[in-house]
Amino acid sequence: MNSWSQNLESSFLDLQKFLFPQLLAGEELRLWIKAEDSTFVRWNGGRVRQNTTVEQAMVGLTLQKGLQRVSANVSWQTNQQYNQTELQQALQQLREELKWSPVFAAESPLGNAITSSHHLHESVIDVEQITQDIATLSRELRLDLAGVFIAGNQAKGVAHSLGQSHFHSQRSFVFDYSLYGVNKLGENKAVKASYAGEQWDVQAFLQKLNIEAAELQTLLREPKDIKPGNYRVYLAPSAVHELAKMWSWAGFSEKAHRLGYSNLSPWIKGDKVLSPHLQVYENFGLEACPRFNSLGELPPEKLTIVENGRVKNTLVATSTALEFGITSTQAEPGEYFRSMEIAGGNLSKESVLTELDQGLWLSELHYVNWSDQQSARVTGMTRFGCFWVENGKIQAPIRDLRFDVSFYEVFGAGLLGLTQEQQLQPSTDTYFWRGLGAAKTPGALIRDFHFSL
Amino acid sequence: MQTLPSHFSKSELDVTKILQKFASRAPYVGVRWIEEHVQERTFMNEKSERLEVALDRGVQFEVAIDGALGYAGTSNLTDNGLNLAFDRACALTRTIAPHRVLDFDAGLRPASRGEYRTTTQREWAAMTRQGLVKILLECSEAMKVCPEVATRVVSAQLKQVHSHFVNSLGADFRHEHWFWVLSATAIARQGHETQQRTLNGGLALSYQGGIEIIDRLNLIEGCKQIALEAGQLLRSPDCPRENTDLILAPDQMMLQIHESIGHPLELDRILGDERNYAGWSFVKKEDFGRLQYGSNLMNVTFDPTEENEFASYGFDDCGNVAKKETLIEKGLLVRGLGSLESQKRLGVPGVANFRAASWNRAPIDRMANINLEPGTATLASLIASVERGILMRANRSWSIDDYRNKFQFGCEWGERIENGKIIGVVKNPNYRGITVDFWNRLAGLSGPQEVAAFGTPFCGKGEPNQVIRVGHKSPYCLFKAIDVFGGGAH
Repeated sequence: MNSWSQNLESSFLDLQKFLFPQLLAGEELRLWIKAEDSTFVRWNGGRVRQNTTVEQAMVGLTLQKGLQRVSANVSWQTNQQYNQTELQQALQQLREELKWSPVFAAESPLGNAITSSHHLHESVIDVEQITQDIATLSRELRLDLAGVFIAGNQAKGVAHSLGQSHFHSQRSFVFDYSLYGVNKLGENKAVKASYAGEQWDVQAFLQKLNIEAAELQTLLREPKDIKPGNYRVYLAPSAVHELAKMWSWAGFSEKAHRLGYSNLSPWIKGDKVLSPHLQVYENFGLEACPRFNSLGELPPEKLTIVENGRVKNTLVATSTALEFGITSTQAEPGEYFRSMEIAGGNLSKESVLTELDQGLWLSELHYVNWSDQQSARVTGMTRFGCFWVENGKIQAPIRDLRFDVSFYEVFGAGLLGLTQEQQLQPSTDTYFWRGLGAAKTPGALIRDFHFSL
Repeated sequence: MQTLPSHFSKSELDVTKILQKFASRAPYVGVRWIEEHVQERTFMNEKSERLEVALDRGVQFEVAIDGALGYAGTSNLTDNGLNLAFDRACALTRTIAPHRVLDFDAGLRPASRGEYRTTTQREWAAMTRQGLVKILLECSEAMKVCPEVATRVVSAQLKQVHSHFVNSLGADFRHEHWFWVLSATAIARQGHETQQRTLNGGLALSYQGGIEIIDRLNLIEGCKQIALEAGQLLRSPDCPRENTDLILAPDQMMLQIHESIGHPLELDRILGDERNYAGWSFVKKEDFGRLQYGSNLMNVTFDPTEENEFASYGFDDCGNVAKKETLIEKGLLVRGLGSLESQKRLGVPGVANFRAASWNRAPIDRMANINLEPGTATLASLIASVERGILMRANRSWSIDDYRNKFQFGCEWGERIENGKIIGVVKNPNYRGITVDFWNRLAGLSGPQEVAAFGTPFCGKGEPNQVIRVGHKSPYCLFKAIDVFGGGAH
């Protein structure tokens, strides 16, 4: 256990001991903490564009009394006396607010008092050495490299006056980058890549860069113009993930379904059945994020969402379960995936090009958004390494295309197969805080993928 | 009775004192203090959905070491916390210095001094928290006017942000911002179908100001109207699939301006800083002064001085004084959205837009208020000039490629126009196009009487990611011969 996470956990426990005894009759209090100690180094052209370190921590309190509930979030200091004063003041403010605040539709009671403490991947990450490695290899291999290197500690904890208490910390790095080249027509082409883990291995990184630089050479061949229309496509695992991310946005949320704004309601209701190849899970066995949710509940380690193309479960938060009299799956209150897995299928990696035969190989998709709710249609763009394939061989790179497809078609009768191999894609989200979580997805062979522009 | 806005006492760290302590330890030091007081209330069907207050405080150091610039942010405001952050900024900057893209240049840090405060007519303290909740619940009740509306959501977020920046070159400026984000959503259901209307799309009611903002918006009438419209959409046909004339209301123009003018003109995108994440731009350095971006009716400005618009401020984060600049004049691209740093790197004119989302992110090139200047027509005359077309309101869906060329946008509300008259409502309206071709099809703009400003708190870009506030003001616009479609068609 490193001193950063040890100190944080110990301070969090002290805070619980300080605040919980102050509760009055009928009051319940949930406390959470999140913290990070991160380094961000931003690259452009194989050189450093910007560098930032961030140490931030926030503590949240949710005071509940019957159907009334109010929350406060406050910046956290290493000065425990300051924290106690600030949080005591927040607690008083929340009590005042409770006196008149409108009620919630349902309360969120907690079950039994479970506790957990996990400290993962605590090896040292030498940012100085890694910066030298990236800069030196970019120069020696003559790479036009852009991206961001992120490393450091992250922690999350939650505790409840009824006895729940969890703490999770981890130290990791992710280098999210791309390599660029210009073809003979003066068009930019790029290969997308990432390297994530707990221990930096410069030889492994060099090996990756060499493979990606070779891929870039293929991308610099003369591009083929593809007209809008329907094509047979292979979606690489990250492209499948980009589409599947939409299932967290008014998708498998039970509340969204019940209130009429889910984009997947016909599928959830069973009016639509998709391909039997499709199995989808919320799987905390990926160990990419803590299993406990922000309420301190422990969801099942693996929950089947889609089985043989049929929706078996949705993401149900406890408040939704209570509101509609159904069973909770201990999802986050926002009812989104935290650790999605799509099971692999029968296609071997080696047979993908032969099975694709003629069509498009799409490595990455970009800027996907719902295009029509009733038909579960999404639109977005192809991006980075995408190719035209003929006779089972890569023939030429393509220029970016806009697609507009329905999940009911492309993951329904249009889904010809999924690869045996799945790829783990750790979260690279850094809005406000570094994200935790991941998705594990296979590649997908699809017929009649529609391109509109 | 408790008044708006804060649940927490305001405090201020003495950044001048912090600067004095650290100034001698690096050739250049800047210190920024930011404190945000937030309260957010959301109600669904008149029951609480979210009721949260927050206090976020932090300091950011900006240091120049060995010719390179670096940043460190911390929410740990103890002496130890500040020492650690400063030392880490210096250490990391020393490490990256031999590999830097850009040399530190003191000339790019104007020694600006001054203060900016959101213009308010009625201070937030003039309203109680209970008063605000009452208004929100009345808005929700107003949506009961339509029986098919099963779900009613209303919300208000108030954010008061204080910041103070000083540096070792003499800069010393403060901001005090008062932000509103208001929204209302009516979801109507019939059988398997649902339709949704919001007040001007998502979180578009984003402004700076006091209580007068609520008075001006006439929220209750607006809520009644969107509820009726959500019900009406259920009974309407899908938007037809055809190539036709398109009139966009200001609440959709906001998105059109944002995605197809704002982002492609950001100089850091043109420089490739964003190409691994948000994307590059079809605009090249040589396009400034040459590219006919749109028809000669098109005049676009960067204006962080507009009272009450969401992204107004006094100075950007390097100390450049915020002022109005023309980006596109009579359709010709003349200026980019780039800070002093980006202007130096690219060699094209820019604006005061070096902005960080907060103390925990380094400043980058951002939009502020990007406005399309009005024309001389009226909405009525634009409609009258259309033989066959669609009018669309309120953004619902958005997607554009990483060079900002091929876009597809969807709206909540459509109306069919034939022979100069509105003949009916259409649902699920979408349109698509390619940026420069689209803007060159601009054939009419309404005048200053029919202009509206909107904003969003969620413009995302950057590595690490940052969301920032932007504002967009626009008239009604007519575009000729655009591909529109709706429903399951594509």
